[in-house]
Amino acid sequence: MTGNIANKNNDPELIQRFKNGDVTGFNEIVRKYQQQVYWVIRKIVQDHDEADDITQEVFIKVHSALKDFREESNLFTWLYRIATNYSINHLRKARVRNTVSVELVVEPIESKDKGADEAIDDESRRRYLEEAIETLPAQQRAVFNMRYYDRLPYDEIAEILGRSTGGIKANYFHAVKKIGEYVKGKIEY
Amino acid sequence: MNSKLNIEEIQLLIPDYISGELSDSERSLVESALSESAELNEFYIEMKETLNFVSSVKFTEPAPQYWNTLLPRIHEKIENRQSKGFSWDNVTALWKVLVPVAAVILIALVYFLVKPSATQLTEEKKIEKITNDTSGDNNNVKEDKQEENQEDRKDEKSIVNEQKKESVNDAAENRSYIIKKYWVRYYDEIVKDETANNVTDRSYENMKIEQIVLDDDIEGTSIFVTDENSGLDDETINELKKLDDNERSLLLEELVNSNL
Repeated sequence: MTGNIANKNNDPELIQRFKNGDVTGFNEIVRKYQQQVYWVIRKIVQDHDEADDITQEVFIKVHSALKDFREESNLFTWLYRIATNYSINHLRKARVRNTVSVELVVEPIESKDKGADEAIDDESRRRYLEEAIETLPAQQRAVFNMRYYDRLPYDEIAEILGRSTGGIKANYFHAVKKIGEYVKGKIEY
Repeated sequence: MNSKLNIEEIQLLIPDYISGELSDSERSLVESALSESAELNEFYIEMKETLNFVSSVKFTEPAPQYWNTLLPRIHEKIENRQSKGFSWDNVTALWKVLVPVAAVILIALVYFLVKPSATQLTEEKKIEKITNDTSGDNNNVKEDKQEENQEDRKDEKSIVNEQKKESVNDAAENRSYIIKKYWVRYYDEIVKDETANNVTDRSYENMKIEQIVLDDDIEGTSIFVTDENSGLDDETINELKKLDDNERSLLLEELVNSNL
């Protein structure tokens, strides 16, 4: 998927159709952006089921608010902002509920007798990356996903999150650095 | 751009340099800095290993049919919430209104329960005012009473004084009466003697003066002789006998000062 920027050209038409009472305008918007929205959320919250729930809530929000959408920003940026904010809020609520440290549940990789290349399978890599991403503050996590996976320009990320471009660049740099520091303590590249 | 002076800015560019997201000018700037700085080059290697690891990790894709079921499930949720008239957003909005209103009502209730009402306050103020007024009146009353008492005492004193005066006057009058009575009788006897002895008025006056002069030594005179030879009737004699020493001295003093 990931990284594909949807065609924004017919967005105003879809929006207008929905405002005129044609539900097919909304349906096309969902089909057009559902994967991008899902992966934005999935990269932030990591879990599929949580990503699925949040994706549905994002489009329900779009359904209720699209009539009032003034198109000051493009639809894609608006969807991205909603998805990112919902994901960040979900993470913050989850962190309040679950105060168990990630360090306590991580199995040390050194306990395995196999060599690093053999021991670190795809599942383990995915798990350590998820854990590394989970150590990031919510905004850094969102910035990392938008920049690394979706290749969004810094100014567009800044617009989505309502931050300065310089701050977003710093967020991305620190996110990559923290992920490297976490993973480096777990495996040998 | 001097890489030594801008090493932090170069570091910020390195992740995008690895991902191939930099412009040509930015890329050449980073490459120049990397060739000059071993420290920066080491940092670049670590960043590249990290991003290579991230890119090697494959997220498990949802099942292909998942994308076909997402839209129907979204519509199902929308319809369920619309049919039930239930929306978490509405609930949230409702609570945003209800909670402050409930808080205000609760505070108002507590306020009115704990603190006395305006009417009570007014009544209390009235009571307080009345109390103050009463106390003021009491003070005034006290002052008035004190004044009255003082006046009463004055009156009592004056009454007592008057009574004393009256008693004194009575005593004086009594004494005066006795004296007059005495002198009238004395005068009558003189007139009798004068008639008998043909004494002139002039000689009578002289005799009165002589008598008064003689009375200077009042203790030695026979005026208060109350025996049968005093020439007084029994009533006068009895009254003279009732007089104590002070009254007698007062009587004598008045006799001396009188024009009789």
